[in-house]
Amino acid sequence: MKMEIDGRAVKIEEGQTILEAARSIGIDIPTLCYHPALEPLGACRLCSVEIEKRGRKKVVTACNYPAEDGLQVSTKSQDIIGVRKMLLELLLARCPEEGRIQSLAREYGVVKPRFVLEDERCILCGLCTRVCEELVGVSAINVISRGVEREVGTPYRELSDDCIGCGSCALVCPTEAIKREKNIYPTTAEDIVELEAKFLVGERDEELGVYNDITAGKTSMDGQDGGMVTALLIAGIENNLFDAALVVQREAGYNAEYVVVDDVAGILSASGTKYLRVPMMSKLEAALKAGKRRIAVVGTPCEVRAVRKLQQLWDLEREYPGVELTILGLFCFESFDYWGLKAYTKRTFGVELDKAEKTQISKGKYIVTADGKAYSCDVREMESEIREGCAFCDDFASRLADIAIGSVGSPDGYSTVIVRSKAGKKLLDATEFTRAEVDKKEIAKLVKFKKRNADKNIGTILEGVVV
Amino acid sequence: MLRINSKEELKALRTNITSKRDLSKPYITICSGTACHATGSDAVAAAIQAELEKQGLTEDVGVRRTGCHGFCERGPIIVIYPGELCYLNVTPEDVPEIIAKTIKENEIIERLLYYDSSTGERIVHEHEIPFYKYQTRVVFSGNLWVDPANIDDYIALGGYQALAKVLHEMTPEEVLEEVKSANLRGRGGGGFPAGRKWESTRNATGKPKYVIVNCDEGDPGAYMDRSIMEGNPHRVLEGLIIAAYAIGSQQGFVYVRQEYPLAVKNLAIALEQAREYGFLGKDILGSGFEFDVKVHRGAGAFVSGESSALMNAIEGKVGEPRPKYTHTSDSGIWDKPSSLNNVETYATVPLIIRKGADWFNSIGTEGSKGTKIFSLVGKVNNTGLVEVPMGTTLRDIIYKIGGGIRGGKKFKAVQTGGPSGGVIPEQYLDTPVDFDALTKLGSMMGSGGMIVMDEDTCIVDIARYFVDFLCNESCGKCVPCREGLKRMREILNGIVAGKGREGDIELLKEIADVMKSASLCALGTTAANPVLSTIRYFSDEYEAHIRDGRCPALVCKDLISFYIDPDKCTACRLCMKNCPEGAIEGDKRVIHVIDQTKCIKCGICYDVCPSKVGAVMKISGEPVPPPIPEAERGIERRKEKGEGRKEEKGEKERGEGKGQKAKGEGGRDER
Repeated sequence: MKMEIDGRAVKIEEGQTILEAARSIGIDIPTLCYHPALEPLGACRLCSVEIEKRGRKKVVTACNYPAEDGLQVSTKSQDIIGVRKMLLELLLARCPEEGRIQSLAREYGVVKPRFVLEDERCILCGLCTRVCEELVGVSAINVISRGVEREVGTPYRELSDDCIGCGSCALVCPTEAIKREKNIYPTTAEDIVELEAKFLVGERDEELGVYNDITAGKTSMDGQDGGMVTALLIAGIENNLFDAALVVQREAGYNAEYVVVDDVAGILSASGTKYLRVPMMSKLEAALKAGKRRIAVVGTPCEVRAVRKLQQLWDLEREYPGVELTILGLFCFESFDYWGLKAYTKRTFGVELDKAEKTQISKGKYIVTADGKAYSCDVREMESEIREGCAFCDDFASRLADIAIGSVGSPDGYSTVIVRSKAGKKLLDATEFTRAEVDKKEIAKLVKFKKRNADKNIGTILEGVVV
Repeated sequence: MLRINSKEELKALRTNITSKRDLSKPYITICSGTACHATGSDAVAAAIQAELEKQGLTEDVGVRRTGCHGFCERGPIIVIYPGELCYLNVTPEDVPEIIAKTIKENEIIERLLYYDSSTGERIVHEHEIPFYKYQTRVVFSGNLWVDPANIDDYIALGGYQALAKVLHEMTPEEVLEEVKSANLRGRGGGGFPAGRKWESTRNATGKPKYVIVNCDEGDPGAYMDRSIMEGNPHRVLEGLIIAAYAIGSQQGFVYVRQEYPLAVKNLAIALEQAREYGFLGKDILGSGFEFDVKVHRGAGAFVSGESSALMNAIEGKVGEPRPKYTHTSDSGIWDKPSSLNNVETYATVPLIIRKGADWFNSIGTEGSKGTKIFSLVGKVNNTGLVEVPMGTTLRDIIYKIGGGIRGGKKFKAVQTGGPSGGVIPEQYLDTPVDFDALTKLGSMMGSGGMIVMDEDTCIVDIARYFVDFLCNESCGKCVPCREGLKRMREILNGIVAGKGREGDIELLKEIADVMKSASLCALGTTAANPVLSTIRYFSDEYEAHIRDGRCPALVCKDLISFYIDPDKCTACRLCMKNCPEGAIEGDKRVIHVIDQTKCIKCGICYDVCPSKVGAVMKISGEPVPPPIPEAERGIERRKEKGEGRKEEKGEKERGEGKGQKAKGEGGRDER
C-alpha cells in the first residue's frame, strides 16, 4: 500500500495513521495531544492535514486518520497553515506564558493574539488524564465540567485518594499545568531532591535513600514481623510526640480502612499488615479539619509521597496552624485490590480472606493463615491482582518518610527500620526494642528491582514525549 | 393482557378493541402534553371527571387524556367527539358549563372556540382552525387520539400492523429496500438517508448489532421529539422494532433526556405494554424474531445528542464525541455496529411500511420526502408544533399556520436548526423548506426548531445568545470549538456592549472558518453557523453596533438610552413610581426627567408609560437630549402655550396595551 504526503510517496502498513506514515519519512506534523502509547484524543487539532479522496478535499487530524492506499495528503497547504495559525493564536491567548505554545506560535508567525490574554497553564490536551487512565491504570484525574469551563481535576475537586504520585502525568504534561494541580501528587525526580532536602536528615544512599540510622528491631508487640510499627506508634503517643495516628484497621472482614486512633488500644487494633490500598488522603484531611494537628501517618510509599506533596504544595501551616505530621513509611512492592485479593485467595487456597487471621508477603511468597493453617504461593503468580499503578511506582523503601519500616533485610521476627529524619530519630529513640543487624544489600536488591520495573514502564511514556 | 402470537391475532385484537368502542357516544379528549400540563390540563381533567361523576355521566361519556395536540399557545385544549368540537384555553371553571351545555344539550359554547381575527368568525372543528388546517399531520396524527398509556388506543388506529407485515410478509432486505426507496432522511439534523444507514449497519461484520433512538432533543425552543415520545411512544417503538428486524439487531436502546419526565414515564409504560402483548421479547408475533429495548436516561448535556457522544454515554462513559474516523454503523456502542436515528425518523417508519414508499415519495420535494414536524416558537401568534410536507414555504408556516407576527410587528428573521443552524431573513420567506434549501441559505433543518423573530430582536444579540449557549454546551474537548466559541463570545459581548472594533466581523469569520474545518464533531463544525448566517444577512446591523454604537432593534442595553419627551409627558408619575432606581425626577404637574447617571435601562418606565401618552422613548446611536430646564418643567405653563397636555390622564390608562411607539423603531423587548 502506498500513499502520497506533500507529493512524496510513502509505503504504508495496515493500521498506520497519517501521522505515523508522515513521521516515517521525516515529515514533521506538529502535535500537542498526541502520544504514541495512548489512544488518540483529537483534541488539539494541530495535526490537521488536508486529504484528497475521490476528488474531494477534507481536513482531518493526522493522529487518528487511518493511512489508506492512494490517499493524497497535504500537511502544509495554505489552508492547513491557516488552521494551525488560528489554533495557536487561540492557545497562546489562553496560555501566554507557556514556552511550548510560545515557540510553536512563533514558528507559525503568531506573535500577539488578537484576543484578551488569559492566565491559564493547561491547554487541555488530556495527556495527563489519559496516561493516568490508560497506562498507569489509576484514573485519579479526568476532565471535569464542559464547554469553556472544561478543566482537569479530581472527582468533585477533592484531594485524591487514588493518585499514587508516580509523576507520569507530570512527565507528559507539555506545560507547567499539572505540577500546579493541588489535589494530586505527581512527584518528579526534582521534587524528590527538593523534598529530601527539606524534610530528611542523613547520608544519601543511591538505593536506601537518605538515612541517619538503619537497624533491625524486635519488640514484644504482636504485630507484623518485629511489631516495630505498633511499638513506634505507642511510644509516640505515650511520649507525646504526636496526639493521634492515622492507621489502617481491618473492617469486619479483610477489607480495611484508615482510622484515626489516639490511644494504645486503638493502635493495637490496627496492628498487622494489610496488603490493600485504601483511601487515606481524604481521611487525613478530615482529621485535620476535625482539629487534629499532631498526627502520625502510616502509609505505603505512594501514600508517603502524597503526604509530602501535600506539605510541599499546600500551605498547611496557614490552613491548619500547628500542624505536625510524622510519616511512618512501609516497605512496599505492590498492593492489591480487596476484591481481587479475596477472589484470588478463594480460588487458589479455597480460603475466605475475610476469615484469615493474618496475611504476609515475605521472600516472594504470599502467605495466608486461616484456621491455624498457613497457605502460600509465589507472589509472581498473583500479578493479575496487583493494582495497575504499582508498576509505575519506583519507590520500595518509602524514601520520603520520616521513618521507614519493613521486613526485608531483617532476620525472622524482626522488622527493618530506616530512620530518615530528626522526627524519625526522636521516635525511634523513644521506642523500646531489641536491635539486630540489617542486610542492606537485600534491601538494595529489591529497591533496584522495583525501580528497574518502574523505569521500564515510565520509559514507554518518556519515549513518546515531545520535548 | 393476552400475548399476541400472529398477524391474525393482532387483527382480531384490533377488531375486538374497536367493536367495544361506541363512536356515537360523547368522548372528551384532553391534551395532556407538557405545555398543556403547564397551563393546567391536570386540573381540567380532574374537573371533568368530578363533574361527570356528579352528573352521573361516567358511563355515558368517555374521557381520554391524549398526547400533545401541538397548538400549545392555546392550551389546555379539549376536543369533544363526535363532532370534533375544539375548546381552547379551557379552565376548570369552564367544565360544569361544558358538561351541562355541550355534553348534555349539544350546545356549543362560543367563547371557548377559536376566534379567527381575520374573518371575525368562531371556528368549531379542530381541523378547521387555520393552525391545523394548513398542516399535513401524518406522523403527529396519532397524538390527537391516543392515550399514550394505553396500547389499545394505538392498536385501534392500526398500530403494530406494519410490524406484523414486516415480520410475516417481508424479508429484512425488502424492508431495507422499502425504506431506501422511500428516501427517508434522518430527522435529527444531518438528514442522512436512514435506509443507507440501516443497510451499512446490517452489512457490517461485527455482532451483536444495536439500534438506538436518539431522544436527546436539546435545541432551544424545540420539542417535537418530546411530544411524540410523550404522546405516541408506540409509534416510535414500532419503527424501532422494524429497524431492528431490517438490520438484524436484538438489542435496542432509547436514549431519553431525564429532563423529559413525562416522556420517560410514558416510554416505560409503553415498553411494558409492548412486552406483555409480545411486540418485544422472544418470538415477536410468532415470527421467531427476538428484540428488546433498554432505556438510558441522559444526564443533561446537549452534546450527548451527537451520535458518538450518545453511544459513549450509553456505555457509561462521559458523553463526549469520539474522535474516530469510523462510522458508528461499523463501530458504535461497545465498538459494535450501531444504527442511531431520532424519534421522528422512527415514528415515520411504520407509515412508510403501511402506506408504501410511493406514498411517502408523493409528499415533499425532490431531495426531501415526506413531512417534517417543526416547533414554531418565538414572536408568532400561534406557537406550537407544526407538521407540513417538505417544501412548504417558510411564509406559509409562519403566516398561514403561525398566524403572522405577534402584535402586528414586522418580521425580521427566522432561526432554524437550533444552535447549529442560522437565521433566514425576509427575502427568503418563500423558500420551500427542505434539507438542501435551508443548508443553501446557510442554516439547516436540524431537528426542526423554528424561532421567529420580529423587528424588536437584535440580530447580534441572537448570535451572541447561541454562541453563549454553545460555550456552555460544547464538550470543550477540541481547541477550535472550545477556544473559538469563547473568543467569538468575547467579541460579540464587546460588540453588544458598544466596544466593537473595526475588524471584529472579519475576525469572527476567520475563527468560524477554522471551527468549521477543524473541529472534532458536528457540534463544532456547525457551531459558527449562527454567527456566519447573521453576518451574511445582517452585516449592516453588526456595523451599526460597531461603527455607530447603535443597536437598530433597541435591545443592547449598553447602546440604548431611555428619555422622556417633555412635549408628551403628562406628569402622571407612573414611571416615577415604578422606577426601581429612583432615577426619575418630577412631580405632579412637573414634567418627568430621567437621571441618566442613575438609569439602569431596565425599561420599566418605557413599559408603564401609557400607550396613548408614549412619552418614554428608547433611543440608540444618538445623544440623549439635554433635560428640559427645571424652570420649564411646570405643566401649567405648557398648557398656556396651547400644547394641550392633559394631566392625570395617564393614571386612567394604566394597564392598557401599548401600541406602536413613536419613532417607528420603538418597542419592547419581550425576550
